[in-house]
Amino acid sequence: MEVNREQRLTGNHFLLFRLDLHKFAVPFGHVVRVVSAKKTTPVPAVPEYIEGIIHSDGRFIPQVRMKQLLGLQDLGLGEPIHAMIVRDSKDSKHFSFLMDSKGDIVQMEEVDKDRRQEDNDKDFYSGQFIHQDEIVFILDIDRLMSTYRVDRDGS
Amino acid sequence: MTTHLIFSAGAFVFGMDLDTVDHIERSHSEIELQGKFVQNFHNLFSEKEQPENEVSCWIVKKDGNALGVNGILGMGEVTTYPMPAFLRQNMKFRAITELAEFQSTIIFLIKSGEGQYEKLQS
Repeated sequence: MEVNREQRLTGNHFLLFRLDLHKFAVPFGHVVRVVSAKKTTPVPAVPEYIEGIIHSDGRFIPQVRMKQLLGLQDLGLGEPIHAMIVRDSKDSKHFSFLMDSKGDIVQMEEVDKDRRQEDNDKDFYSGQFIHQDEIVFILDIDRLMSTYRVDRDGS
Repeated sequence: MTTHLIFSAGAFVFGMDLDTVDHIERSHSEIELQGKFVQNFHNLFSEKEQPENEVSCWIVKKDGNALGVNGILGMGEVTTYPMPAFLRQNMKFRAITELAEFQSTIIFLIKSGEGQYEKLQS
């Protein structure tokens, strides 16, 4: 699924996906594309939540273990066949992650943004909403991409 | 494109600018390395130390420093790619500066500057 920049859905559009029992949403403006799960090349000297690198559309993209990054227990219930490639707001960083299921694009007018706790470094959610009787947590992609930095140049 | 020396350390494949390499010595010739600063390359980027006897050869750089590696895989011209920003910010081993492809394998290029390599940040 390629995101057409001219026709990008904005506002309260989200791409839903599942990790084990949990349902998550990525704001659509952060979604680059959804691709088939690819073989990763392991990378030395990185935290365990980085699974490796994939090669997609002429670019090398780091792939993260999203459950580990979010601090979720891996129940092993899913069998991921798709990966989502996302970008930060500045389009300067990308990573991909495996999804246990690829869901729908939904538009939500009412989102509870009180979920975030500003004093918690590991709170990677920017809000939540109810979809089909399930709580869906909205991932804060910028926050996910800026945490754990070990570089010194701050790029 | 720059010609690189391709070598393995642990489960990973690395590349080093061939212009910075003086010569390669087999592992049993440590006596000839006397006076040089030697580093087991694997132990620079891994928290799990590798036994010294797994070093199969030493890459002796023109600056006199020597790196112990597990194997020499060849040499060749590689196309280099910048390290993705998210990977760079998570990279604990500062010597890795770029990525490249060598015979369809993604390899990690290490900086060719002089001197010793800094062990990974914990």
